[in-house]
Amino acid sequence: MNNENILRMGKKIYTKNLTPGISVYGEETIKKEGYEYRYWDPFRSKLAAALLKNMSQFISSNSKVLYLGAASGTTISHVSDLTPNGFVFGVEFSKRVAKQLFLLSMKRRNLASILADANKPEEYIPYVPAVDVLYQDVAQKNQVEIFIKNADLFLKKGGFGFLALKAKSVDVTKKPKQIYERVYRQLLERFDVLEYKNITPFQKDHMVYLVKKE
Amino acid sequence: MTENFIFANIDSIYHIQLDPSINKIRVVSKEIIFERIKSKRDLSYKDVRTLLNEEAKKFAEKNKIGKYVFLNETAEDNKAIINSVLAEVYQDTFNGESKQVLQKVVAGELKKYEPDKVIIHYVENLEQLTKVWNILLKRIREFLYIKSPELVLLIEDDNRLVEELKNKDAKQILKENNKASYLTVDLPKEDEMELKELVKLADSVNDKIKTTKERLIEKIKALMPKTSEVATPLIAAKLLTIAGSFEKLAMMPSSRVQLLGAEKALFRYLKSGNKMPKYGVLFQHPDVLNAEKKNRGKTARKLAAKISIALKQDYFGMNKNEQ
Repeated sequence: MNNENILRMGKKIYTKNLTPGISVYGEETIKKEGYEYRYWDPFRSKLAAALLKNMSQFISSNSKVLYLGAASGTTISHVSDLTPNGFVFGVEFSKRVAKQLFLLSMKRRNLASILADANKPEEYIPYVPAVDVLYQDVAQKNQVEIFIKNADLFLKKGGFGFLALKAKSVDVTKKPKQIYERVYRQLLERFDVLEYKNITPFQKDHMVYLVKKE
Repeated sequence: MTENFIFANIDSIYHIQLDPSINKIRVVSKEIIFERIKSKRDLSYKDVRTLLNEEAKKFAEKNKIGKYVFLNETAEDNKAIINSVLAEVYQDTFNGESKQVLQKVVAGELKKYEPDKVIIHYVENLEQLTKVWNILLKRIREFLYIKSPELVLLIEDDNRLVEELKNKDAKQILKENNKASYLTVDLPKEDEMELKELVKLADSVNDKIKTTKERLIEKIKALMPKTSEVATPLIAAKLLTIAGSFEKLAMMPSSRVQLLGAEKALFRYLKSGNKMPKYGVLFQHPDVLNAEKKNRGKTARKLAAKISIALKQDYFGMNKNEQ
């Protein structure tokens, strides 16, 4: 899959701005062939880091995406750039950052914000349809369970799941490597694990997994 | 053997037939209620749910379905199956209009005034303002060493120092206190101005601390009347700040309340097994402070038990009044 809204120039990665003239978090923009592109910082976004580590692209321009742990909207704004014909649902629990996310979603036609706990998907079932992509970056102790729960409910068959695992928040006392392996086996029971990448130096002790629902 | 369910969505109501033996789901009929919901403004999640339930009840009566499951009446055991049914039903329902409704619901939730969260801000304001005050006073004292070291040494209390310097000159203050002024000098005009302005600033910070404290006490007394009586208002507010929200604090066992504010010591103890902490912020409570040293742990434990009861009275009592 190749998304035409991504621009890669050497070691830099950009997305085509859905709302030209508006930069979301002060990132630099460039003009190319009449379009405006926003710089996608791999140190701030685990998806950008994964793509720079040569993970294959799994979001197409008409994907429906469920994004868990949207926070103030840094990465989700780029996901929204990638899916001009699709839709992105951002789930965030903390009111403080959900306010920023809400304001962002008012500016972008393909983005909706949901104030809910990703651990309790039943709260947002009425609002979220079946999706092509499940993106999860919540850094919780039970984040794999949360991922599986949501994938069961919302992910279409053949849809992609992206899990950003923070080893330190699963268990600080264990070595990250042990946790990576355990999670890999956990995922293998349910999904087709397509790829996994360690995203150092962009993030420390993080592993990202790309899975496909069978 | 099939089962009939009614489900309410944000814009429609469905009659669903579920066949548990083959896990198959069929939508029998559907009624769109989007227009009716849209006409009501500023709905919260709760409002939406009550509204949906009313609509669903009407729909069930019309279609003569006896058994139905509503959004907030799902039993724990069939939660998983109901969730999967729901997800199946809603998979194609989202459109531009539903985004409007959703955003309205979220905005309503985000705009809500939460007294406990506001109190936490007051506590943090108070802490930061106190820090500002300490920094300013340190600067004023250092600056005053150039002008009048005798005065710095004479008045040890910060509040009094600012109060005196506000209206009077250093020499005048020393005279009133019958102190000699061997090293007190007159500084150039701009230096005198600098000192005066610092004192003025410190004075206004002091006033701000006072008003913040007053408002904080008023607010915490309104939110937790019983707890502020048992624990003193300021300690109640500090407990709330550490817990993060009233709900979390009210649900805590008293042993946790006892150690709130002693997290560092607690985890050190858990790691090394040395000395167990006896109290956190409760240490500042007059009962604990005035207790004999060997009884302090006991007092803190008893106090925490009482606070825990008071918290529960305040929290659940509050909800009762609301309803």
